[in-house]
Amino acid sequence: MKKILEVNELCKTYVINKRQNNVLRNVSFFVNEGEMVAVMGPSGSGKSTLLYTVSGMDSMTAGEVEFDGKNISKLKPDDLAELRLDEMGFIFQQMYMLKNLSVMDNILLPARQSKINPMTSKEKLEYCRELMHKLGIIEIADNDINEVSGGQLQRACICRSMINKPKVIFADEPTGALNRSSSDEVMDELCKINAEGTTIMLVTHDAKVAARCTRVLYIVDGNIKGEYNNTESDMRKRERSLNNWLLEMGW
Amino acid sequence: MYFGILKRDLKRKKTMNTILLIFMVLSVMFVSSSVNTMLSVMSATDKFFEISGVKDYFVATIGTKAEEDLNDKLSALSYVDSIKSEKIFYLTESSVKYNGRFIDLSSTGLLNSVDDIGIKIYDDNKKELTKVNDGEIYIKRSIMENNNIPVGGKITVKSGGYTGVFTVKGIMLDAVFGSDMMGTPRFIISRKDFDKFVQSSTDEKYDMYKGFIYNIETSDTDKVGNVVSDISGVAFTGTKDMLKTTYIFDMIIAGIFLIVSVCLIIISIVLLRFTIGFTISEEYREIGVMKAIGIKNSRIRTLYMVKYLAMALVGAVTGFFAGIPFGNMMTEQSSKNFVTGDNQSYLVNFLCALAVLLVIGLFTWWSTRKVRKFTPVDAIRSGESGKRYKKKGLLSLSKGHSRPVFFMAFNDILSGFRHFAVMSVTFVIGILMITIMLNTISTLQSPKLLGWFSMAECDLALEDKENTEKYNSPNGQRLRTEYVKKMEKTLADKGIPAHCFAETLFKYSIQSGENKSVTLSFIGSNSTTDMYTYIEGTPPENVNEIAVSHIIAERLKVNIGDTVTVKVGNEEKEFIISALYQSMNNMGEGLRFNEKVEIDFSEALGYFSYQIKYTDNPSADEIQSRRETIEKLYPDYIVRNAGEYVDYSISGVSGMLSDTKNFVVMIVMLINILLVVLMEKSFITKERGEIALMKAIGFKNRTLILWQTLRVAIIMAAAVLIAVLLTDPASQLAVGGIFKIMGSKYIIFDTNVLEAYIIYPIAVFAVTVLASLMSALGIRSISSQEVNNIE
Repeated sequence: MKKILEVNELCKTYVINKRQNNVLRNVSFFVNEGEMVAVMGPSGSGKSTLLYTVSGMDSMTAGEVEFDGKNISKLKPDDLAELRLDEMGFIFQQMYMLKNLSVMDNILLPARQSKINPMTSKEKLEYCRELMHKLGIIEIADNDINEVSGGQLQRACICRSMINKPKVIFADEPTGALNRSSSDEVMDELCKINAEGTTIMLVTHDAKVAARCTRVLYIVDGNIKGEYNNTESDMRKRERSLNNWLLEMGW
Repeated sequence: MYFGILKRDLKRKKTMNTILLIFMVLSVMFVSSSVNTMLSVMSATDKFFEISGVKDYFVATIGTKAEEDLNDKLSALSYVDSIKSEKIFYLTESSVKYNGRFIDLSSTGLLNSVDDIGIKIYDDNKKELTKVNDGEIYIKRSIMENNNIPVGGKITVKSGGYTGVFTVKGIMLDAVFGSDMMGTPRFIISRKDFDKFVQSSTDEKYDMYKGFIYNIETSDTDKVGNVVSDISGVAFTGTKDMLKTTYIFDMIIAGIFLIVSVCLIIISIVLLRFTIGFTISEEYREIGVMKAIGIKNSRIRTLYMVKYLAMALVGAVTGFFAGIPFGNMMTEQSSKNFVTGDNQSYLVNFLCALAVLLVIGLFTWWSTRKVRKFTPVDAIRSGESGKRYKKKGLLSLSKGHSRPVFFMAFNDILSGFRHFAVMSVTFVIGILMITIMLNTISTLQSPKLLGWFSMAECDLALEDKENTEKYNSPNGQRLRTEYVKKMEKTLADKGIPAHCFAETLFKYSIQSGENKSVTLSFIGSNSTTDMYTYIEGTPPENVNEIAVSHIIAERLKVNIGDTVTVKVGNEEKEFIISALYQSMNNMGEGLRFNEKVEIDFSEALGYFSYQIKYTDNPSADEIQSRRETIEKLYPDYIVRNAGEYVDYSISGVSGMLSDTKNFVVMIVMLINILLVVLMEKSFITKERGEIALMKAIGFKNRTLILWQTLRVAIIMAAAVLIAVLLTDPASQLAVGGIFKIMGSKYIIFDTNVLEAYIIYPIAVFAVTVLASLMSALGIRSISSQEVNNIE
């Protein structure tokens, strides 16, 4: 299987008040095309930093990250921005959207900004509607972002992350701000997207969410302590098995 | 605890608090300097006349014959309180030389002794001039500037039987003869030097160079005027009020500064209102948290009142001091020809600072009023309650084909115009300040203004400085007409089809019943009365008809069809008024005879330039080529086109107008730069989260910088359009009144479209957008991870 993301000896250090804080220490892992990988770990372990660094949103102190064969550590800020626009999708814990745009315009914005997206403006709009329809939010297309629920908004964020048909979606606690039923709905959608071939790497605190991924990386103090492959097909067994593994890891 | 909250707030929100503080300083600075300028400008002439000790009425006589008659008659009048006479020598166009060339005096000049002068005069430092050393001379600013005479330059002055060489010591500010409308320039020398002129001019042939100025203190200027009008040998007369109006160009410049001051005050208030509202809306989340933990509304409000008032106090003190040099600069620029005593009143500055402090208090009180109504949740949601969310996006990306960056810039402005209102208002006012000023200046320098100087429109004006005395004879009209006809023939021989004519100036007394006035009177040579512009009636086609200026008509209480008596020489002639016109000569006073009226030209007061009007319609190249030909044909004449002639007629003002133009443009650009830099910084601070989000989803820095800059560019472009549309009514409102004082009944502004509506707005636009672009570069330092700052 082709590796879409390959991380080697990744280090990230913050200097705060002249004190070095090594958030990521020689992290190495890979993500295969079509995989859905969860990153878990205690608070402050470096999960989000890992996600932001491998996606090019944050700089690395040392190491290498290869995304679809491109060494992103060597890319310039503008090239990284293009990469994020055209080949990556992002979902955040809070449903961040631009306040002055309607829900649909927020979703459509990256598509209209993309220069390599081959679709015409009309096709982009059609695809946006299709995505919204698929995620069940077509009725809120023209609404202001203040007028919709958190679950709907997070689904809109998923649509936005999908609009340029990215190779990988990076999601930082995508269900963290949602209630259980909304959380399940969002995960259903992400699983569907993954099933259709999009690679997903997400950070979560929720074992139930992680259980739906094919692989789980457990990170502690900036190091990957263990890796778990979800092989069970029954979801209950899968959750139980993952929970046991997490307990072993010190969760 | 509250002090702790304040301290942390000031530290944490350093950028926004600094921006607010700078706006407060600017407001105090603008308001105090503007109020000072307004006070100074509004009473500038009154103050200048008061401290100069200008009397109620003045009379200038020529020769020695009028002296005795005038003294006898005036001293017998019960309503004349005092008379102070000054001996003068007249200077003609061929009297004063600098670097071997006659200097341009514009009109007949006067030579005075510093000890003899009837008013107080001042040097360029606005200090009273009481002593002039032997061999030194003080002259008027416009004479020095127009003839490029430096301080220390040597000039040769010839009048009567004496010629002396003097070193120019400096500029003299003279309330009576110092204005640019007052053509007569005064030269001041020492008593000893003046006596040399007196002693060398005892021969009767020099009498025509001698004269007196009478400074008369009276309770009835009208009656004095009636008495003086009967005395021959009077060159000119005027009241204190009329003298004040000769400062019209200075008043226009002062008026422009008055408008600038009013604009700055409006900008300051708008700045404060919006900045306070804007920054307090940023505090809503914290207000919500405080409410949630149970802090009372009054305590929260007090907390913010204390914060803003503390900042306002710092701003007021800083602005008070910053306003002093700025105010001095404005007042200096607005009153170069005035002496007004102390320019800056610290009390005014203090009161303005106090007023701004109060206004800030009021705005803060007003802006925090919502605190009472909000629930904690409303406040946390930035002042919007869940049920009453307003639709924000007015445009739709899905419905258009524009590039996202353009769409977002437009959409942001339409969705949250409140945030851009301060910029919009300031930009519109700034551009209006420039366009109104440019329109005023181009109107003052327009060839159309020839009509206001009692002249017919022409293409060229040829000034003969030395040979006009040949017309000083009873048959002067015939000689002058023959000369211009000969000029026509000479031009025709060179292939230049043209109509040549000339204007001659007299001073006659006009009377209707008890009402009497001495006024400038014009007659054309080889011109017809239908060539001039009238505001009412028909041109005086017959010899018994005249046109009078509407000012004279009002003064004599006459109208078209009425009969007036004009004393032409020793003969009293009756004329029917056939038309009214407007004039800028002699403050709107004047009358025009039919060209066939018989007048003794030996009484002429002055000769205007010969005028040439092409009878075909030559191209621009042809006009230039003809000018060169005419310059060769008449090498002794100064050739000017109509625009140059007007510029020359208002000599001395052009430089000041240009200085004013540069000053106002500089002020507007500075304000725009300051505003844009500060607003852009506050936008970036407020939108940090959204910018990070856009970076996270793949927007490049340059796209985001373009987005921020475009918003300013759109606002600026809209402001330019609005200002251009408002320019004419705003000009009429702001400057029309000043033109009315000049004798204009109505004014059509002459607009230099290229300059006023294209070049200057584009320059301001470019500077403003560049400032915005430079400030927006700050976006580069925002990381996509800061998406978590989004609210």
